[in-house]
Amino acid sequence: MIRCYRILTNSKYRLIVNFLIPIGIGILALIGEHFLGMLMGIFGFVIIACAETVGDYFGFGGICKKGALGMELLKTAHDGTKYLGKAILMDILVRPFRIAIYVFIAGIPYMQKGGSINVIVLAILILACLSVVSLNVLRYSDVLQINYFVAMVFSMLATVGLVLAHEFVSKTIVLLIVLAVVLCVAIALTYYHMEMRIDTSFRDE
Amino acid sequence: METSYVVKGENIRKKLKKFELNVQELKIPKGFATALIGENGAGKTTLLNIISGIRLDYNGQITYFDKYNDKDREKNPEVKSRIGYTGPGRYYLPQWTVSDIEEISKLLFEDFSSEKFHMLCDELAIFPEGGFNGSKKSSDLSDGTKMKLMLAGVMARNTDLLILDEPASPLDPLMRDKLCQMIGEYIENGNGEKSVFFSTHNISDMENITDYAIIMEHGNIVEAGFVEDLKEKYIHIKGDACDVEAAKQILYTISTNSYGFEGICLAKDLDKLAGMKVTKEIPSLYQISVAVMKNNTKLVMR
Repeated sequence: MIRCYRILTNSKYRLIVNFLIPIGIGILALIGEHFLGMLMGIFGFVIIACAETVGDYFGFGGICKKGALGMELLKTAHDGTKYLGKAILMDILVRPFRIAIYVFIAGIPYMQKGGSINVIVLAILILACLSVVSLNVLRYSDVLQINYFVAMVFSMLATVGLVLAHEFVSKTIVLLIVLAVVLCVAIALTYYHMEMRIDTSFRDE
Repeated sequence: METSYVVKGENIRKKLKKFELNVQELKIPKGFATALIGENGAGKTTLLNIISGIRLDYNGQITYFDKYNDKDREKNPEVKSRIGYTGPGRYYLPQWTVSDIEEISKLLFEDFSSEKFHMLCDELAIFPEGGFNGSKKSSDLSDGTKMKLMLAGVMARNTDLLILDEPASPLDPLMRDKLCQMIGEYIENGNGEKSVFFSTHNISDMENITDYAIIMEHGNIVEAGFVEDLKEKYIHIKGDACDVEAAKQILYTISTNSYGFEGICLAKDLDKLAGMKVTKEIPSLYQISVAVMKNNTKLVMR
């Protein structure tokens, strides 16, 4: 699965979404905290949400669209679409872990000032859910501008989610369970949706 | 010598909104280059997509290499590994670089040779600077260069059947000549085991390597046969203006001007031209194809 993900996704995509963005956000969060204080936490959170959503364009942009680009080479190979399915699953599974690293780094200044780790964990789960769910919309578009627009909507939703999580931090356990279940369901349904799109791409009707 | 077939199809049907593919019988001879000719929208790409397994929603039976059916094509890895396909446009993801394409091809096809791929990239002058530039993105390549890259990719494998959808269209005349050379060498090196099935609008350019021709119109095969046989079946006729009206009743297709007429006559009708002052020539595949298409088209020809 890792090999399929490595080969079927562009090396620049992997480098940017898995390394450069987390490092950039980490540096931004640590420096920005001196000037913006706690506001930087929310700002960093919005940037992560945007980066997660837009970044997918460079990896699997538009693959759910009818007559998607690049499928013919895969379809003419016996295991082509199976490998694509594995790469897609890996891409979905890597998101929560990647987000955990992003948010944890961006949240260091927040925690240093006595912020609750519970809020960080909730933020990770909220972002992971939205990142996975957003794929079901974004992958129908191969126009980057549309992806930016969708990214803005998802960032707003993520921010609202974060504010609500902060409000209800006393009920962390309940929220954690609910969000973890939502994340698992979102991963399963998104993967099923992608597999279904690959299958229907062989058919015109 | 009895001809064996690399692909045989029966009652291949596929219905789209305003189009229906209905191929009663399809035969692609083994060890030859077969051209699929037809107007835009005749169903050539649909048929090639069905044969190569890119489209699965169709009815009918297809047999590959005399032993596999279309279900085997999806289940048995050997079938697709023996078939190489290139198609226009939607082949690679635009963000893939040439190195990505090489890696992906290695993952997808066990018999893909990187060494051969590099050699073909160099031979086809895919990179203007020469050699091999793996960091080049496929979306940065022109249509012609993209086709060359697809050909390099498919030729770097060890296949028995090449299915090429419009390979000549984006290529310059020199590269078309090179394409003919490559197809010729592929068939020659296969000792009668390797076959090529390609669609084309560039009939004249591809004629010298075409052994067998299939002409499609409105989703049906309207003519098929070895080029040599077709050249015996159809005769190119030229005649004087005084015989135009009589010739119109006999010829398969005819075009007239103030000096006379020319057209295609079926060999079996040749006797009916007795008494007319006509010259007979062996037609080119281009002339035969245009005549057959003219006789079946919905285009208004003047």
